Amino acid sequence: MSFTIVLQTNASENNRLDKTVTDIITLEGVLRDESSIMNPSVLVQASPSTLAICNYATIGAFGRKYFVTNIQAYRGALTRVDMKCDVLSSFASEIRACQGIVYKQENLWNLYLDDGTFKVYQNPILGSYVFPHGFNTMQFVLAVSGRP
Amino acid sequence: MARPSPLIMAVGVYRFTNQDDELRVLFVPRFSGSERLPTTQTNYTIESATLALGEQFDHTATFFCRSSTDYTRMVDGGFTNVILLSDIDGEIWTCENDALIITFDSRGYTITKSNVPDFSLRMGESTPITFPSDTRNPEWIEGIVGYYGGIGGVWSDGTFFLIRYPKNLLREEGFTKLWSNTQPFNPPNDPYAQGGTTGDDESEPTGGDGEFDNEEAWIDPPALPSLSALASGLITLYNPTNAQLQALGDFMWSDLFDLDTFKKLFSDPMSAILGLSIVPVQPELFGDATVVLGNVNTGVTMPMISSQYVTVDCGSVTVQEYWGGYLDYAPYTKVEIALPYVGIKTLDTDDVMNRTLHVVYHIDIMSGGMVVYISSNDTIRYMFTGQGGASIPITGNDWTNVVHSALSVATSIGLGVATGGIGAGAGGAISATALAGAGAVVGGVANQVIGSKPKIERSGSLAGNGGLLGIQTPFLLITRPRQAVPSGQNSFTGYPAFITRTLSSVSGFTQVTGVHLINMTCTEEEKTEIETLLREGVIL
Repeated sequence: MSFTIVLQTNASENNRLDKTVTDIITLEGVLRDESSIMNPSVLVQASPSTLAICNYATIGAFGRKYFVTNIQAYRGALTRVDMKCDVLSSFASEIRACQGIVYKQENLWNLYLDDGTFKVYQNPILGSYVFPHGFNTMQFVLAVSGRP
Repeated sequence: MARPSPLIMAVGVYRFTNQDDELRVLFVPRFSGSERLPTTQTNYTIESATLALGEQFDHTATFFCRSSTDYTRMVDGGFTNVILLSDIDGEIWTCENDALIITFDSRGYTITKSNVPDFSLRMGESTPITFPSDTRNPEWIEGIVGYYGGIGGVWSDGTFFLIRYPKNLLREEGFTKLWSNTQPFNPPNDPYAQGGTTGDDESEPTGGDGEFDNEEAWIDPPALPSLSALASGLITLYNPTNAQLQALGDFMWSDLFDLDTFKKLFSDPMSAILGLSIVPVQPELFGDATVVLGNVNTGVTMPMISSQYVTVDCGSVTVQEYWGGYLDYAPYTKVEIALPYVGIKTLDTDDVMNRTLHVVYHIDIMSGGMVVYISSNDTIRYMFTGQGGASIPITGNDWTNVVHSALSVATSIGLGVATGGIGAGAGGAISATALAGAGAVVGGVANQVIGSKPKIERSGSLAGNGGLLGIQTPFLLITRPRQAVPSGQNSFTGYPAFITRTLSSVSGFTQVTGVHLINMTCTEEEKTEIETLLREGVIL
């Protein structure tokens, strides 16, 4: 079975849903025997040197995007490209439609939750606050038996 | 009466916490003419379907469930959904003859059963709550609704009702329209949304049914005592100046002091003087009077004290957050208060943070006894005792007592010792701590830093003479943690959130602790990987 594979360079973090990718080359590839569409191993007509900067791929026929895990010269002008499904990018819209309990977030937070996120130094901040009034006099008190 | 149209319509959408968000409707028989229901059949197939609000389903079969066992089977082992249908375009119909109204909650637990032959109800009205035993229907099981067929709806208080028809009497005749335009109802899907519910037995979810009453009463310091030693007339308090005391002493040691005139109440003239002390307050006065010692007019005039008790208001201080987060509270931030004539006391940070503290002393100038009231937002949170009078010895016995007391105070002041920090472990608390999932980093987790610090007593008792030598104005000592936050920490690891969100509504680094991955087209293995990655943190 042959299909179109777009080999790309991914500049984004692996755990980012929407990746910034640059197309390098579009090829026709065939799936190696007993290769799954989640972790496909594809044979393409290209030299390893051409594919050296490719770390990402899109196979529209499989509806998925992939990380390139290995590029290996096969035989003749064939190169084998091993890939692993990038589940975050492949199913980004479906993931975004899901609901969850957000535990940590970059832009939405409640700093009154104590989860040990923040580190502190050993030298604390010392402060003092004086009340506005106190005892400002000294008086004698003489206690005498009887009435004046 | 017009014959009902053969439609069954969902009138509400329900969501239940331990089911998926799917509305399941149990269909009750659609009445069709004057047919009778068979009485011998025990197993019937109950149909169910998923309806959206307003969606109609034309159901023509006649069926009913004869036993609670059948009923239980058809709800797939979970607690049931609501029978929330009306028969004719939003109108509820019921039978007037020997009908039973069953009210039950979203778990299917029977709340009431009432045999009401004749009734006329409107949406939101309830029947009398009685629960008679029904020996004619032994298949009724407490907590499980078994029904023979009927139609139902929703009361406005959120409970559901089922109008059960008698056996074999499912006929058009006798049906009475109760009301029109049933309203959709969305019951809570979280017990805490309405204060929670309690289960009927230990196996059921309990709790969450607190009153949620956060009333904080104003508790002011009490009024000064209304009865004092001065009211007895057997004792007089004066507030002399230095010169007046010296004049009294001059008189007593002079030849003018007539011992013959001195009333034979005392063996020693000095016994007429009960005591002399220094107090740190200005007593209330009501005019001058000549001092009389045992009927001997000394000729020395002194102001008389009118009240044994005095109040000293030290004012208020508002303690504000520094970081605006959990580090401002216990156990990370510590608050102590230095009180004149008491010493330094530790306050619970949670009592004072973001609140206004008010300190008031009530003083007995005769004994020197004091009570300090510390209010937090107008509610007394702390009460301490102190000693605010310094006795001046005027006899040999007095001198011994005063010196002895002073020595005791000095000993207690010297009792400030260092104790171990809370939870401090040998060598563990001060070492660097690794962030979860990252390498070792500098800085300690806040609670470990707190635990590594020894607890120090900053003072002992500052009573009596010691109090006169001590501070005269209260002050707060606050020890706050110094936060170590790398630039852009929230973009790398996020800040604490703990909120429920649809993931499309947030952006940036996001880490979940629970997620519902529904309507996914990926494989099971991919779904597991997605959930793992979401729990580790992704960038949306």
